[in-house]
Amino acid sequence: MRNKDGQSNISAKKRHYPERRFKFASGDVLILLAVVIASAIMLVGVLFYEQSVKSKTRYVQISMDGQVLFKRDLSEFEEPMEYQLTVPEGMMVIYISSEEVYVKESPCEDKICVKEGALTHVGDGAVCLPNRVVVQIVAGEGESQKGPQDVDAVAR
Amino acid sequence: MTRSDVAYRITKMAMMLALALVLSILEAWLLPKGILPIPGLKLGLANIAILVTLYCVGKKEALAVAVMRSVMLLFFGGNVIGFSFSLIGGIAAWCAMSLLSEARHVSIFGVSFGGAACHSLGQILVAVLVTRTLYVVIYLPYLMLASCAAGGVIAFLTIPVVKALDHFGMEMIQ
Repeated sequence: MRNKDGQSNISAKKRHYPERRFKFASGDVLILLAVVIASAIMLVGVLFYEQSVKSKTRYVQISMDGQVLFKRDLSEFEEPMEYQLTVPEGMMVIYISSEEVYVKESPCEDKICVKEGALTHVGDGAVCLPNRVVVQIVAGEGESQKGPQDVDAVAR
Repeated sequence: MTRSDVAYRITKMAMMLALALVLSILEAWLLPKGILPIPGLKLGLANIAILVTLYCVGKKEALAVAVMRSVMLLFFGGNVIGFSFSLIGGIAAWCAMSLLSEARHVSIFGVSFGGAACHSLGQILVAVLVTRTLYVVIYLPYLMLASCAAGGVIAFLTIPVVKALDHFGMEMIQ
């Protein structure tokens, strides 16, 4: 930007913008291929992860701002319950039963978390970005809240 | 560069910023939130203005338009989370687009694909930071593929605009 030659003749000025290439070129195919391959690798990774945790105990985990507020084995919920959570925009209601979990009500604008519907498998989740809440089903092996306390009790 | 050159560039940037804002609002009106199947997926009509700036004004100017668009949208009744999404996404997309626009054998389509893919990457990064869980990464592959399709459409729409501006000699007006 700062050439001090003081030229006012535009045709002699340095071109600031890239060359115009409007026809689909070989590099474009390469970029597209790279994106497709990267996505495929990620999808396969997610699939393998889901397979590996499928057989384990299902836990419902509700977190806000990255902090786990609630984590319980799904099989404990013989009677369905509605978990109420105070979020920045109001009140969020999460339905939890031994079969499924879903976000019933949310004060957010887009309601993506509600539209996500029933969460049934490990790896399923509903995210509410405006309120920074994540509801997910996680595999609970070795992660149960009782675990560390039991160890403490034995150690004492 | 003379003072009138500087004034001329600033004017072009301002025009493109206005175009970007109008396109953002038009997109919000055409495709309301949540109508598309993947959360966070957008057509990115405003990227037409960013691409035109990149191709007809310059790289730095394109970054300025992208950043100012996010800031102005925040003033026009956006929220802070939406602002951080569009800002980080916009900067990531600009990095990819300005690099790719210099690459050989890469046309405006490749530039747009790269920009779209990096925009999704930036968005997911912000989502990970906002929710502080890695769970949202699950959306990344879907978002990246869909956004590349959107990027292709945007590049296709940008070509006639750049051609028209060249035809009317935007660079020659002074």
